[in-house]
Amino acid sequence: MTVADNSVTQLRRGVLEHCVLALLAGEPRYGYDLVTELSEAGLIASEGTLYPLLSRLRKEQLVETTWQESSGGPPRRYYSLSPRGESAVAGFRPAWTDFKRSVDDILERRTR
Amino acid sequence: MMTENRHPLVSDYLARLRTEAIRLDAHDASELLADIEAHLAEATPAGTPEADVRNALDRLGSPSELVDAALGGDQRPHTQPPATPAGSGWAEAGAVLGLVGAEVLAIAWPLAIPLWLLGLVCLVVSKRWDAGLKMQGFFAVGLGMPIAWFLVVSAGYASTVCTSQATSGGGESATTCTSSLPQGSGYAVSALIIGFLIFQLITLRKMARAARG
Repeated sequence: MTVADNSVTQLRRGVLEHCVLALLAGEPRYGYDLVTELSEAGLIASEGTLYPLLSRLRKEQLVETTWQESSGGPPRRYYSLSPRGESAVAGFRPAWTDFKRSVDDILERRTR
Repeated sequence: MMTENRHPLVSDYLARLRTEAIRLDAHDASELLADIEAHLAEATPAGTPEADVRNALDRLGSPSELVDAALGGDQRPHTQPPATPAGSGWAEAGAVLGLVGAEVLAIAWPLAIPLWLLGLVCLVVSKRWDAGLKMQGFFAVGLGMPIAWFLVVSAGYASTVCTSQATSGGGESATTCTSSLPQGSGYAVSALIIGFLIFQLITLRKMARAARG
C-alpha cells in the first residue's frame, strides 16, 4: 500500500458511518441499494463489509431496519434513520465542513 | 428460501461464510448470513452468467474479511479467553485448604473449626467461582468437616456392646458382643462415604479448573 492509499483508507473509515447515515436522510433504503451506491462512489473496498457496519449502526440505535417483501424477488432489509441517527447527521454536516476547510487551507498553504 | 435457484458458486461462498462466522456469536453470525444471502440474491438472480457471479463475489469480499469486519466493532472475538483471571487466587487456595484441612482434622475441633470458617469465608469471597460452583463447593467440600466430625462421633457411640454373663455357679463368664446398629448398615454407610468422597473429588477438580482461569 502506498502512503496515499493508506491515508485514504484512514479517512474512509472515519467518515463512512456518517456517509451511510447521510444517505438515509432522504428516505429508507435497502442494503443492496446502499452498498452499490457506496461501492460506485469508491467509499468501500469490499461491499460485504458494509453489512457489519449497518449492524453496528442498528445496535447503536442510529438506524432502524425492517424486512419487506419485494415483488418477484427476495425479501429486502430496509434501513431508516432513527431520531438519534438524524441528530448524528445534523451534527456531522457542520463538523465535516469545518474539517474540510481546515485541511484544504493547510494543503493550499503548503503548495504556495 | 430460493436455494434451488442459487448459483453453485454462491452456495459455496455462503458455506464458507457460515464456517468463518463461527468466530462470531450466534446472533451476529445469523444476521450477517441473512444479509449476505439477501445481497447475493439481488446481485446474482437466476440466469446470471458465471462471470458476473464471480465479479459480484469478488466485490463482496472474502468470508474472512466480512467476519473480521463484524468483529472489528467488538474489542475482542468471542473465542478468546479473558486476559487475566479475577483476583489473585488467594481466596480459592484459602477455601480449598481451609475446608479440606478442616475435614481431615475434623476431630481436632479447636483446629478444625477456625480452618472451616476461614475456608467458608474464602469460598464466599472468591471472584473466580460463580454462584453455582460456590453452592456445589459448599455442599461437597464445605460440609466435609461437619460430616467427618459426625461420623467420628457416631462411630464412637455405635460401638459394639459387650455384655458378660456370669454362668450360674460362679464359673467363667461368657461375653457376647452385639452391635448397636442394624445388620449390614456398615456397608451402606461405607457406600455413602465413598459416594460423597467421589462427589468431593469431582467438585474439587471443577473448582481447581475454574480457579486457574
